[in-house]
Amino acid sequence: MASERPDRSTLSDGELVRLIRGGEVDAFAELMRRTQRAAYRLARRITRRHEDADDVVQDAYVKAYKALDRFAADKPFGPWFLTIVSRTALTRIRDGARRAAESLDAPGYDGSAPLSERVADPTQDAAALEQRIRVERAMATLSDEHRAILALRVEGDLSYAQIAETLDVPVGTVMSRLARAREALLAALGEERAMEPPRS
Amino acid sequence: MKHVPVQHPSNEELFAYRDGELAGDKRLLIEAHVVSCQSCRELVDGMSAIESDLKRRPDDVGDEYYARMTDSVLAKIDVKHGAKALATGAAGGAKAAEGARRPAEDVPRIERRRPDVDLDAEGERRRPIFPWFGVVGTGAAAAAVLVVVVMLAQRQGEWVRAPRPVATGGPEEEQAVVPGDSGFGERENAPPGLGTQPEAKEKAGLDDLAREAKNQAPLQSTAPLEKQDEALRQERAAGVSEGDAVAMKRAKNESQTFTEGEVGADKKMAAAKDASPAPVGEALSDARVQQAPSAAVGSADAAGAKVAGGPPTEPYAALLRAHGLPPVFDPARVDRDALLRAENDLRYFYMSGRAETDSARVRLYLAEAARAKADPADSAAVEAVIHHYWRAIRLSRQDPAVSAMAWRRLGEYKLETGRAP
Repeated sequence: MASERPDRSTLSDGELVRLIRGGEVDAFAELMRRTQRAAYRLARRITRRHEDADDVVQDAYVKAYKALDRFAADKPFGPWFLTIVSRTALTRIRDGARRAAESLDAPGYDGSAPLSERVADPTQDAAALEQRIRVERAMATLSDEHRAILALRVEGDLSYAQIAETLDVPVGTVMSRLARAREALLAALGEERAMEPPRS
Repeated sequence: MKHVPVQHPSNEELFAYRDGELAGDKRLLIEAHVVSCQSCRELVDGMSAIESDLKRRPDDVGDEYYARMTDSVLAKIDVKHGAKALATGAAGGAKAAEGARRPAEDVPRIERRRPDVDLDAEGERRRPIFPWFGVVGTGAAAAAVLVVVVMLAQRQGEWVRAPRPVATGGPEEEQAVVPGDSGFGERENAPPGLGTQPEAKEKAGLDDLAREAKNQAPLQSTAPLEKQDEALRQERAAGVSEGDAVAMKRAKNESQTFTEGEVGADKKMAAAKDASPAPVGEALSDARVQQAPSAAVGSADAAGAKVAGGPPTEPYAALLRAHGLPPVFDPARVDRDALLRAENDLRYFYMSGRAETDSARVRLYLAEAARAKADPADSAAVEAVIHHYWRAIRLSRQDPAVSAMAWRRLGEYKLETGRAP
């Protein structure tokens, strides 16, 4: 199906949006191609479950399509869309969607290797791999609020102003909340290190 | 020399500096401190390293997953877009939806524009989405109710009018309509069919309504509606062979209103088959047990769902592929979560009138989705599930696989919910 779509990779986001508004629904596929990985990763960070992230991202795309008339076509689509993803994901976790703390040892959604094995990049040394696993474990211990704002900043690469718009809080609150989330992550990492057996 | 304690910036300021969120003097001030303060530099650099690790978390989804997601989202959008195009009614919904999917080089852009909107105008805003399906569905239901009311009023003699004979050429009809008789008597004696409503025939604008009503056999029956409902209940309780026999008998009665000069024998049977799936009597009884979404689907039935048959169409197959579902529901192959995720898409697909020959397959899936959510203690919900199964069965006369699965699942469900098989 994807191969039947014309190549629109050279068009700007604004040109794609104008095509979509003109009835070229397929042009939306190119916008999706440009944003879906970041969107999925952001949603996955916030919701912690593949199934929830999948629902969130698909819902967000449908919402974005319906709201395209409110999108300023002279701006990049990605940040605008990621705010929709994050709002949808936050609503989902606030509504108490079924989710469990993500286990690093659980298999991937499609039965693939667990995260603790997938991070094992053979090009990295052992210490770097351990550090990445520790960071993931520490991230998994954070509260929804801290994890969400870190995800918006780290995975979404959103500015403070965009995060403020997403969360409907002042920029100053974003600054302090993000600092508390990072402190919590550092504290969790400290505990993670403290729980490690002493090295010989 | 007195030691002056170092005033470190707050973590908020340090992280904001690292994130590039500070400007002007504030940024220069923090920068000067970080350059000279090892602990603050370590904090900033350490946080950068941690976030770099977070960003490098490997995905457990790949390109194939994203491709499937794209197809799924476009299918959702396309169905909804088709719905909006249908609502404009300019060139027919299916054609409009098809046009929207074609690449720009195939169709001149201006032809796909709505004539009343200049999309390039500054500040252009598309109109808010209007629930056209609700309007169309409500209109169809209102038309059906109106016809029923008119028929009842005529039967009770409240609207006495001497109809003119209708030149359909049918011998039974010619005998039935006797000029000079009262409307009440004519209605009692008249054969089924709108031939006894000359006004409707005379008004070209009502032809479509007349054609639709002509397919609704029980409405044209002289039996009271309560008896029709009872007959349907008996039919539902009787099983497939008797149910089909009742429906076909009713359809054959309907087909007798045609004359040999109008339609051939094959057309009679085709009309009979088309007439039986959507009786108004059932629509009325449906209204009592349907919940809102199901009622909307019911109105889509009346709007022209076709008897299923033949291989699945590509749009239907693509929709199911996007959700990882087989063309025909199979309890051994369908996961409950996947089923519920697909439900809305299937409902939109059906309501947009695109199901056509896939109608039975879609209705079977909707039955299963309703079943998955229904509380067995909620009799209205159980009735709604059974209704969906009956719809699937009625639409699946030319699709033995769907028919067999729907009958099997209906039987199992009735046993589960303690109803008579």
